[in-house]
Amino acid sequence: MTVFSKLKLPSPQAQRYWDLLRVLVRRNLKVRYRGSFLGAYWSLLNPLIMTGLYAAIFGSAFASYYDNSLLKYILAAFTGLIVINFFSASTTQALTSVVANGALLNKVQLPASIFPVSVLTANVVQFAISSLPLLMLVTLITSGNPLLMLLLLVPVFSLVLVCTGIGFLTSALYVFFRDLPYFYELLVFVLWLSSPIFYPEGIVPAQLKPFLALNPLFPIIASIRHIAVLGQLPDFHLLMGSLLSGMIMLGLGLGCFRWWRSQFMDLL
Amino acid sequence: MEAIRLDNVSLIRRTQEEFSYDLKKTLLSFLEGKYRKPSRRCVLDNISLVIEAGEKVGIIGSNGSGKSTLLKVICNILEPTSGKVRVKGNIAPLIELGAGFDSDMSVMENIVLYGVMLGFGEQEMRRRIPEIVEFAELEDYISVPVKALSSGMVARLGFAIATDIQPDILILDEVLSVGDESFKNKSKQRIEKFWQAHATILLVSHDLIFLQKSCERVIWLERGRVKQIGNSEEIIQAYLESVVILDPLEKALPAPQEFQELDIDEETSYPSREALLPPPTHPSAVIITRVFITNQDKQITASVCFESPFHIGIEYTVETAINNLRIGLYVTNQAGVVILEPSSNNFLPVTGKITALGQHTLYVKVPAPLLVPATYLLAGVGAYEEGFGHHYGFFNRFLTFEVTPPPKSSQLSFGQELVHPKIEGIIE
Repeated sequence: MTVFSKLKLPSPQAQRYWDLLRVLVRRNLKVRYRGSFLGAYWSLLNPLIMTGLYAAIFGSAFASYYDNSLLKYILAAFTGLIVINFFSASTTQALTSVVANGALLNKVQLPASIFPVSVLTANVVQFAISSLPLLMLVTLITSGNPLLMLLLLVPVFSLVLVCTGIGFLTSALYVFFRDLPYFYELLVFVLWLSSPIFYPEGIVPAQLKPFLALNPLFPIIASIRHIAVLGQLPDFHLLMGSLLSGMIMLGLGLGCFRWWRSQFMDLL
Repeated sequence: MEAIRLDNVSLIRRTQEEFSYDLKKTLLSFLEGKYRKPSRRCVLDNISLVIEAGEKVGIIGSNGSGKSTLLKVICNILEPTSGKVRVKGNIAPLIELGAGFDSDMSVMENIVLYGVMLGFGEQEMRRRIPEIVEFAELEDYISVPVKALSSGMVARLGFAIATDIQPDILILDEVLSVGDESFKNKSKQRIEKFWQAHATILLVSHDLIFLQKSCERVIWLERGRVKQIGNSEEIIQAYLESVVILDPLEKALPAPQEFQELDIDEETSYPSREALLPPPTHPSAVIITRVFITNQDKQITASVCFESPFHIGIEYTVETAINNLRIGLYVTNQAGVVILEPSSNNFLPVTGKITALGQHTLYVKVPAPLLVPATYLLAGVGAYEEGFGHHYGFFNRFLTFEVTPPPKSSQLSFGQELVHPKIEGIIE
């Protein structure tokens, strides 16, 4: 963190944004890990336990789709869970971030976008020290190719873009609709089921497959699996697809956030 | 040199009470075709002013006239709907000290957090920690979480951070009274130092004498407009004269005879539709700013129909935390006889939403048919806290409204009665 704090940015606005982001992210992480010695690694507990459960229940039934390898099924389920967990945790926390700081926004001049962005950044930091090294390790073991390990960063970057976009969107919508968390929970569940996390893509009926492609997480999970589980260079189209869905979500989220921003203050 | 310049600044805000924060309800009302655009209110209306660097300017006006909103626009917390705001120099807003503190984090971390929020650099704030804790007299508490500090300590800390660097523009909402006597002196000295150092100072206060002494110019706001602006003595004089008409605030409820006397002379001098109440003469936790009559659809009106229910709207602000609250008022007829005395504790809980900090509107719904067609007056409104007495009381006639007769076809006769609820009879 000390390295970052010395960074000097050319414009005063950018410098202020950067300073704000650092203090808010640090606060977020500090509050999160106070009094827990495992710290960021707690976040691995959930996907590890879930993977264990899936392997125990579905392992034997679905292993045939993964070259009859239970290990591959386990890895596939684990990568999917990491992605969806990151998505659901970061966007759900982002959702309430603007409203939770509404009183503050009424008293101090602050850029409203700093709140969803700082929540996202805190989750990225956590991801970077817990799940990401594990994913990289798996890639290195399955493929033995350090280049693939770096390529993993492309879908992860897309994931961050998607989550940031949706974080902007939900945090802005929550200002207007305070019963949103209820609907959002439902939406996350739909995304969760419609992403092939614990089941192989192959069991989805052909008529439904076009709908799966609408899921912005789909190309991301597929690319990560290609790299980490199969140890292969992923389909170029898949990688670009994941980047594209990230850009679209970010553009959409940021656009809506800015468009609605002027109305926030009347409702906070 | 200009420090602050506002050109034709207007701010239109959504009124909150009617807005449904519900996605479900909004969708349903869309489907039923009942969706209404949220109502809006002009909070600041075409304000233009220039404040020179080094000027001390006071802002006066009744509650709800837009004083705090104007400060927020100048601080760039609220963006004007139209018009331009230009500010030169760094602003230290002392609006609510300690608003940005995180109670779980230590004093040291909060200094950095709050300082960065106010617009200072992180490195700079770290360097200034020793000075700040020294001024706030919190050297021994540097790594203690803020939640362990007393409220006085928190206010001291907030003041010390916000004023550690000499600002070009200082914004004070209400005169500061932070901490114990010795700290009050210290903070006064610091403000005075700014005062002498030619900082531009904007000051909102109900203490008119203090304003007159310390400010060269005064801006008088009324319902979001600049009513007058100029020499502080003249403006304050004019302001006092304007409120005096409505202001025998210290008087208790006048005896009914007095009512009758008033009747004959000044029957038409009371406002109809809505009345703005004068600010209290002493600090109050609850302030009632506006009382108005609305029809069933909450549209302000001067006359209501005998057959339809109506609302009496009471706009009030809870300024500091209180435990419980009831709001009551008198509805009298022209002879001064009290016809209704609605008291909120009879139909609403005394705590919860009603005591939440900030501005609210209490709608008292009067059923129909009840009041016989005639002219009525609101004569007294008060906010009370159990075990405290009244916070805000205004005991004079201040608003009149009309109950219009039902259509001829209904063939009702009223005679001598004061109220006419629906009465039924049977013959056996």
